[in-house]
Amino acid sequence: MVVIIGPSGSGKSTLLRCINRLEKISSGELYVNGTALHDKKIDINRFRREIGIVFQHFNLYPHKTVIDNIVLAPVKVLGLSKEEAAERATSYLSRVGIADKASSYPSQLSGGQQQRLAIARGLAMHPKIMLFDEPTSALDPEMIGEVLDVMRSLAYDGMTMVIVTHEMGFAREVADRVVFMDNGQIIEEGPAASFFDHPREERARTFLSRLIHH
Amino acid sequence: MPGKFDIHVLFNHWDRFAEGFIHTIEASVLALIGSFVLGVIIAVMRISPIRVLNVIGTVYVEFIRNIPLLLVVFFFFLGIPSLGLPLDGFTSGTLGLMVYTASFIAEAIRAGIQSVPTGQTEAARATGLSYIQTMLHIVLPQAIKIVLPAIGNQFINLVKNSSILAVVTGMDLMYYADLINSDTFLPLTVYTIVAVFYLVLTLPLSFAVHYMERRFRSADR
Amino acid sequence: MKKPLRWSVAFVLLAMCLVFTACGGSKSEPTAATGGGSTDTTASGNKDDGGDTAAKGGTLEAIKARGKLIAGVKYDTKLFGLKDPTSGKVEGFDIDIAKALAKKILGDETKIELKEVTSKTRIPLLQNGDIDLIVATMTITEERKQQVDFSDVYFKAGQSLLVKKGSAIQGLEDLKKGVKVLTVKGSTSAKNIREKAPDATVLEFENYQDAFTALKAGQGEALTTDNAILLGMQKQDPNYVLVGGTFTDEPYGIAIKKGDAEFVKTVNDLLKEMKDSGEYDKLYEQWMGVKPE
Repeated sequence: MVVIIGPSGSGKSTLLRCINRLEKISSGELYVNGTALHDKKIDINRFRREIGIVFQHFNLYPHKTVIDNIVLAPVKVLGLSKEEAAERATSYLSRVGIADKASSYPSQLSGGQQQRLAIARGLAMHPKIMLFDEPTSALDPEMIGEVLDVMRSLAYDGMTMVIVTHEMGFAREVADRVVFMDNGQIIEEGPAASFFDHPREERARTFLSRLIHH
Repeated sequence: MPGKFDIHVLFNHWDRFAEGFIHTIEASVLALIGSFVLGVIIAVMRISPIRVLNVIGTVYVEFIRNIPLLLVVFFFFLGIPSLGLPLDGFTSGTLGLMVYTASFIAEAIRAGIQSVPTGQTEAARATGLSYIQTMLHIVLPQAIKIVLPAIGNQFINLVKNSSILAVVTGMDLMYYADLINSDTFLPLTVYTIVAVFYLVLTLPLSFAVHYMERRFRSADR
Repeated sequence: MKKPLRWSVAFVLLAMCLVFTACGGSKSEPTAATGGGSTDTTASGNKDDGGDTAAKGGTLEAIKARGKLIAGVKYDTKLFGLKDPTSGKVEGFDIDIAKALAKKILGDETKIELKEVTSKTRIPLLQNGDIDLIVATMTITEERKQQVDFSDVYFKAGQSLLVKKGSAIQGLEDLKKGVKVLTVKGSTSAKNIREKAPDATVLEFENYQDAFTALKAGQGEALTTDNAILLGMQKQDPNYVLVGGTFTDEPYGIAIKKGDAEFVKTVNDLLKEMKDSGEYDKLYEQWMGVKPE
């Protein structure tokens, strides 16, 4: 599990979104799972099914029920039958704790439930990597915990995750590696424990101290 | 007495009123379905990342909606047949109506598509859905809900514009109205009856539009 | 609150549409009258005229005394009497007939004065003595004969068919089921063709130019109306020809003040002379594009 941190506007989200090419890669090379992502000729749709993403603003489909939000891609992209997909969806809904909401619409869910649904939607594709783009930033404080719990349990199950977050406590607790960015560049990266305890770079130190003092 | 209202005209010429009315309904329904499908395709082309499609869509909309409907209909009625493909008045009128209305529907839908947040597209594309799948399952259903009232208004216009068939002998309500008028010399009666026939078609559409507007407004809360 | 308001708006709109159609109705009244037939316009009035002027010396003397012939002609009718907007000259078949008359009576075809007449004004103008005769696409009818005298027929007008050159349709009998005949909405021609060719499909257009364009585009096999109009179209595009002669009878005659037998004879003599000499055929072909039947 990798956590990307840094001040706002430092390019964290952009870096994350490059990993499944939601951002155009204008120059340079990027390899993910051995695929040359910067190559325009690759089958991007095939590649993307192996990478799930959870957005800050959930981006759930408002016109579809909770279960249909999950079922769509497995059916259309992976070619699962509707029954298989529904079964899979139900199991992930249980996993994130909202199995009883299957036939509701996203607008009837709380923020925390919506984000958990978004996570379930990503997981249902059986991705090799899950990306999280500030998954708790748009949530009310009392709902942050339930989302982080789900992510934590994923981490313990060994899911490969890349997370952009401002939750330093969470990052410290579950991250294997930390990437610190500023001004569009990676300033420092290394194991979580050593980064939080002994940041090498001055800018990282300033950033951390400012957070702690807040 | 041309100014006299004589309801007997309706009964005496019932068969022609009825035939015209049926043709007006047929032309409207066919053009309505056709213009909706064509409008969606053009709208998707207009916002497509593929440049060629983009240009075709834009040219279509800007060309068709900025010329008179009569010209579009004449193109099918006089132009196409002179190239060797005979189209009768009804067919060419309906095709013209469809092609013309599609340009307005395309614009409405394009606006609707662009009002769907980009996050929706990103979320769908990120799960591996193709551009077309994303459009079909995620963007269009939401866009159409937003623009349904606008499309409804275009359909009302379409029904009224179907009177263009009268010019190309499309055997519609207006065509027969002209003929009945020249037989009876009772324009007030004939055209009032015709107005009522059109209202029978357009008023329900109009109420449907109001209903949708109200419902979406309350859904926004 | 909302519903009654909406209904009242609908009602107002409906009422407005009634008022508008009513206005349209009253406006179309005069046109309806002319469409019904120009015969009735002079049916009443002008009783005072009768034939008293004709008794005094007759028209022929008056023309000779005056030194010029005053002819009532149309200024707006293709092929027969049409004013060229650029040159201001009035030209046509009727005009040339009138000029030939001037030449016969006064020995000079330039000793003529043309006066514009319409279907409505021509009989009163003649009866008032403002014009010596009418050469203005005037159909000889029994009703009109009560008011004016007519010369022999100088043009056989009537409804005919215009088809593409080489068409299988050569006359009324070819207008079978499935054949589309084009004409103008609500015209007498439309009624006539329905009676004479009940199996054919009749398509009615806003005006003759639209109908002709539709014929050219292949929207129908034949176009029907008065041969005078069809001859104009044939002249405009020689790929289209008249077939089957006329199937209604609307002979044009030159109208002369009632009771002036001498002048009628003069005119008839001239028409005969022109026909015998071939001058009539020449004029006919010059204007109509084809030889007379």
